[in-house]
Amino acid sequence: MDYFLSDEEKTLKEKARAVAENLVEPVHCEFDEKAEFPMEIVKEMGRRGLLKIFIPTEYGGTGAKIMDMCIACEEVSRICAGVATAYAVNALGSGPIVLFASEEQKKKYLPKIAVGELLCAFGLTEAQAGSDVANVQTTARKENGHYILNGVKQFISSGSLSDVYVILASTDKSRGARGISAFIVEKNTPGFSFGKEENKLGIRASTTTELVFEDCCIPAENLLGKEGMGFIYTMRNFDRARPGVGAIALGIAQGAYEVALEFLHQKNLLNNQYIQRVIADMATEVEAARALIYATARMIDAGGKNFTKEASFAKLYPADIAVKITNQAIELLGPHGLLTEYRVEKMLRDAKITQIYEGTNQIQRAQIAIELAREMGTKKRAGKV
Amino acid sequence: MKLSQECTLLQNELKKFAQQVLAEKVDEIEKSCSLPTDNIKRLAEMGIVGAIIPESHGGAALDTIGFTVVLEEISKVCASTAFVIAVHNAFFAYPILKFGSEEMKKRYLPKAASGETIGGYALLKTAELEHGGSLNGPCLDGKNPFVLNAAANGPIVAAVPLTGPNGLNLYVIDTDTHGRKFTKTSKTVGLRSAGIGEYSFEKVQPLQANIIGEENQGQMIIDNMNSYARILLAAISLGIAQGAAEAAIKYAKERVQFGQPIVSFGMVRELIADMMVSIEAARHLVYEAALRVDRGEEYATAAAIAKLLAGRSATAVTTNAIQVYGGYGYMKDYPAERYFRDAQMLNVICSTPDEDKEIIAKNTI
Repeated sequence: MDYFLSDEEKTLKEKARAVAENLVEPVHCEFDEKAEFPMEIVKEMGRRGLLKIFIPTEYGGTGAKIMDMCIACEEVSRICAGVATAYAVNALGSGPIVLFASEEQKKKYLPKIAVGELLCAFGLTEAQAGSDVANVQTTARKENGHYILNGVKQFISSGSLSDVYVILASTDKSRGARGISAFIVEKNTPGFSFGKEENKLGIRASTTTELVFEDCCIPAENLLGKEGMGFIYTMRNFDRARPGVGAIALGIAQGAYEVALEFLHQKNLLNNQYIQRVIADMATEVEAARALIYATARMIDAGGKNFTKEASFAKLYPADIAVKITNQAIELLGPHGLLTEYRVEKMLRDAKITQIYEGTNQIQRAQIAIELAREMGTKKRAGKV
Repeated sequence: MKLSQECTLLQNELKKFAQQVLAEKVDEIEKSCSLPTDNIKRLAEMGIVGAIIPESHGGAALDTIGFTVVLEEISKVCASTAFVIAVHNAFFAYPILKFGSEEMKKRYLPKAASGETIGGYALLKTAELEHGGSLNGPCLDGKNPFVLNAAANGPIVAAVPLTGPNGLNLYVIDTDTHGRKFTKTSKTVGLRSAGIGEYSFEKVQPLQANIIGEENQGQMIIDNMNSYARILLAAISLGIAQGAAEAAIKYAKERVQFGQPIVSFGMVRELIADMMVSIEAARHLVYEAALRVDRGEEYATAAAIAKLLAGRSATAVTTNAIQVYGGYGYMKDYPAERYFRDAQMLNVICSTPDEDKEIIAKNTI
């Protein structure tokens, strides 16, 4: 389908595709098997201007457009969602800085993030704060112009390999979600270390690590925005990041669909009606997911105000079809699909994470339903229902 | 579904064995990607390895429902172990038993019953063969990356194409056959310790004494044994789904979020209910297909229905199981991801859902 991408968007798409096909393709199997982080590739993406797209123009970026993020994520993920995740984490990590940091903080970090000199990550999840993100146990205590952080963050993508971390910690436990604050913590800060590295089903090129804070002392000016606003910042950051997760899912689905189509073509099976039914549905669902993601991205980039619901749409649906389509791709390839060398089994393993990370699909549904109820309430008040 | 007393006793015995013996080793076996040799040895002692082989050849002569229940119980804990035994019976012992000569039966079945040899099968669909045949008769030339029980390096059943249109002979290719070589364990999404691997065949000329059935009966025998195998593979799918669901439910009761166990949330309860519906439906169909075999009724359609539903059920249930675990489900520290990978294997080995549908349609129209 023609989405009438701008010339800049077309150039970006080609650039991302070139990285995916030339740099990621030859190594993605090995990175998956060895669970090796694609540091050189992410750095090269920075050199080729692919990290700039997460950053506003004033700070050396190209405007932090959600559409750009979605285009690039899809292309990389089409070849390897693990590498795409390692890349996209920089958007999630830089998001709160872009949205809520002080001018000084922005100047300090964003230009370097834009060129890949600094990689960034986002530290929210904890053992007891998964879906229940407000249940953050990590604390930040203010003392003599510093904050002292204590606690353990879990399942942090690109943990240990990033340079700058946005960390959510409680500054006032009595206030629950309203007592959570966001901080910028740099690697090598005393008291900040890395714990367990996870062994995962998929996206194995993306490293997942514990972040350990033991009396980690950071200057008070590393507070991001205002105290007590961390939870709200997180939600706002997720609203902008979720279409990107959708795009990663979309890329996996697109990749699996292409592998299946090529296989069926080579085996002369495309005239079989069982197969026609499946491949036609696949093609339709991939396009539906893309249209949904692009529409959401355009809405956000055009200055849409409340897009929580749409952001959840754009994550929920692509993730579900990515799992479905990769599953079907295995079925279409038959026993071949079970062999690693035919690629689709990795795509299935990778796809499963998209139903889980950045809010499980159950959380997305709950979010959508809350928004729908809110809308009904608004309508009622306006006398429309 | 009510099982006979004998069947229930067997089920309980295997349940105990699976929990006490298999559960201990499953993580280690999974990591090593090697055949569960110790498990097989223990199961051989229990008489399970030669499940379908008659007592006259030293086997356990289990009925199909009995074997189904056995495989289900083993798969709840370690699907790779169940798969090795199912393959050994369905793709090796079964064709020899049903179509082999008396001499062949004597030669292969007692050793297969005791577990001294573990038989394998080269999937026809993945064979990359030169169309063989020479003056000296049929010839197997090429490779196959999908040989079941390959790592056991025992005798394998393989189809050999005949010169002429679509003809096939089915042979046992012995371990020491000239030109037969186990080249590597294949990298597969699941059943990583079931020893699925690649064989190369260099102008292998099967012995005439090793033919199963008559000349050109290969396809008929394969269809026949696939029908039987579908029930056993469906039983493994069923066990995987049940094992994954039990693990997920246990986790959901323990995991607290938003101040309560997640099992109290409607969306989690729905996942659990969906799993139960799917498993229960699969179990009825699998048992029904097995009972049809035992009653001597036609079972090809029932087997395809059971395989289709149990295979799809296991992929769906294991996907939901990971979802119940959330991020933890994606980590190798928990069993959900293994169930999920194993389920994929059973869903397409022997037949894909579309192939099952075609059998069902063909037999129904």
